[in-house]
Amino acid sequence: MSSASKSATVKVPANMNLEQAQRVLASVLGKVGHPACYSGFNISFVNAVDPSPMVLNVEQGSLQVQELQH
Amino acid sequence: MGFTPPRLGPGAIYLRSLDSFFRSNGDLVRVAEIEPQTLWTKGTRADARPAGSSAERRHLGTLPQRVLTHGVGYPVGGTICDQKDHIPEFLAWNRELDVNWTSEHLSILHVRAGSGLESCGFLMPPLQTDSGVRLAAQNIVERRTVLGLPFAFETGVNYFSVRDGELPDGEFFAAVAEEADCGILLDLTNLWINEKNGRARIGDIMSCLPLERVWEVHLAGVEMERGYWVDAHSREIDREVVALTAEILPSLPNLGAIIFELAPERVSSFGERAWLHEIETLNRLWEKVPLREVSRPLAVDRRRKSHAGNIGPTPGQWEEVLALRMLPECCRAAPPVSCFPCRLADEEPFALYSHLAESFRSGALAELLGNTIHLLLLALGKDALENLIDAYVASTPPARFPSDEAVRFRDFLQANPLPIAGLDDMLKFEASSIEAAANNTTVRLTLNQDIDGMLADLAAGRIPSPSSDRPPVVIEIGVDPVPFIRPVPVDVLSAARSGKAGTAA
Repeated sequence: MSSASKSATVKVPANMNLEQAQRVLASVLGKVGHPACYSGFNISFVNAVDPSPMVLNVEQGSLQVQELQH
Repeated sequence: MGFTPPRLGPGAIYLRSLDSFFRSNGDLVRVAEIEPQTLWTKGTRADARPAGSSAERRHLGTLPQRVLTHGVGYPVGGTICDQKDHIPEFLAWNRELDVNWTSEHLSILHVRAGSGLESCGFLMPPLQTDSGVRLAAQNIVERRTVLGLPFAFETGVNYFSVRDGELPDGEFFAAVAEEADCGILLDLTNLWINEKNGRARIGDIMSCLPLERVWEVHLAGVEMERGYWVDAHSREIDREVVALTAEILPSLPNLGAIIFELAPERVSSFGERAWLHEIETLNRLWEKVPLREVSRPLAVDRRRKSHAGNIGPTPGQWEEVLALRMLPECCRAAPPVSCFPCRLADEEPFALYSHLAESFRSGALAELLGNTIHLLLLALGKDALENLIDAYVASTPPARFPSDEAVRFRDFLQANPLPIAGLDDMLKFEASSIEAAANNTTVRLTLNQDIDGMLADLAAGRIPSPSSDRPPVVIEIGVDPVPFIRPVPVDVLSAARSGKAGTAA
């Protein structure tokens, strides 16, 4: 930043804490890539809006599907 | 076919979150298949080219595994097939990672829209006709030429039922492989799904394939969505698929790798131990792969078993239908002159594809604008939030990269403002973080509320308190190369008014 090196009279709230904001930024960095190659349902939004979603329990090796409340 | 892949062994799709497991299990995980585009960042300018970090490439170069690359986002099944823009970066990754071969999907992603090209938001199947074979083969030959690497296409999932006049799946895959003289990445989970959904029997497909061209096998976990089995990469490999794979592997004389796939957002719920268990399964399966010196020439009857393939519609006409059904109305091209023969049986699959595509779009927003989404959820409630996302999806085309999706949602909310205290600040903060990360620049913004206080409130499930008498604060967000957020002193602001500092909000 060209302006960042200029002399400063800092006037920022003394209690300004950016620790959590830093974490948000750091997490963004790892998630900006192209989605991986799969042709199913992306659960990120469901996880975000509903911490206890109705999930389907799929019995291995069969076509039996059972709805479960987490 | 001049290329015979080396026997690399069992492995997995590389995920950043599993990096340490790749490094500490080099004896078990012998191949790291990297999807470079998932590690790239695209700037938020429309013409920005996605690129990865050379530091990350070097880091990946120290993995104990042999590395393969698997392309995502640039499939080879359609009339729109990038052979230019992403190639220099993809070449750099292949070169530095010293890969033996590379692969991509025999699918369609982009279609023509009113104002140019748009993404369908989901990998769509190609039209399986003779002209579709020629198109895919030309795309593959060109891709292989520009990459200078042996190339294999992946056999995709297809949620449509078989269409009259199309080539059966096995004949289509075989014809593309023979005409392009390339390898096949046999995704047995996809084929199993297609069989379970009633599309095509795996035995019929395998009887058509030139088995010596199968260089690689993909396996993944499935789940049910809206009555269809879908390729979700969500869990362990179904036991039925494991058994099927064990039957098929001995017939693949040139197999070079067998890869387990897990979606990144499923890692935390699936667990690292379960992931390692799947790799152990792959190691047991690998023992079924025939030794090269004892493999026999295969007597596969490759004569086309049907006379299909010469139906009227062209790949371009199929893509017009995809544009019509997958893009929002606002960005569709003029109605097609010719009419592709859609069937009643196509309605459910199109609804499924749209549903799955929307899940990727809303998933990108939840991942990149998580606090904004959380604030909207608390303020509006789940139903209203879902309606808001539906309205966004219906009015904005999908983006290839999630950074663009997030910026488009920011623009949508700014054009359709909601009276929610703190929303402007949170949206501005998260969108600026994305812009700083994606554009590798420093972004300056003014916040009226204490951002950390808002984040703490949201983390506690509370709607942030309305703004107090606290004065606005200007902060800078950047990546240099470590991400930073810092307050901007007021006299720096004065001095910078005529300066060049990034986006002021």
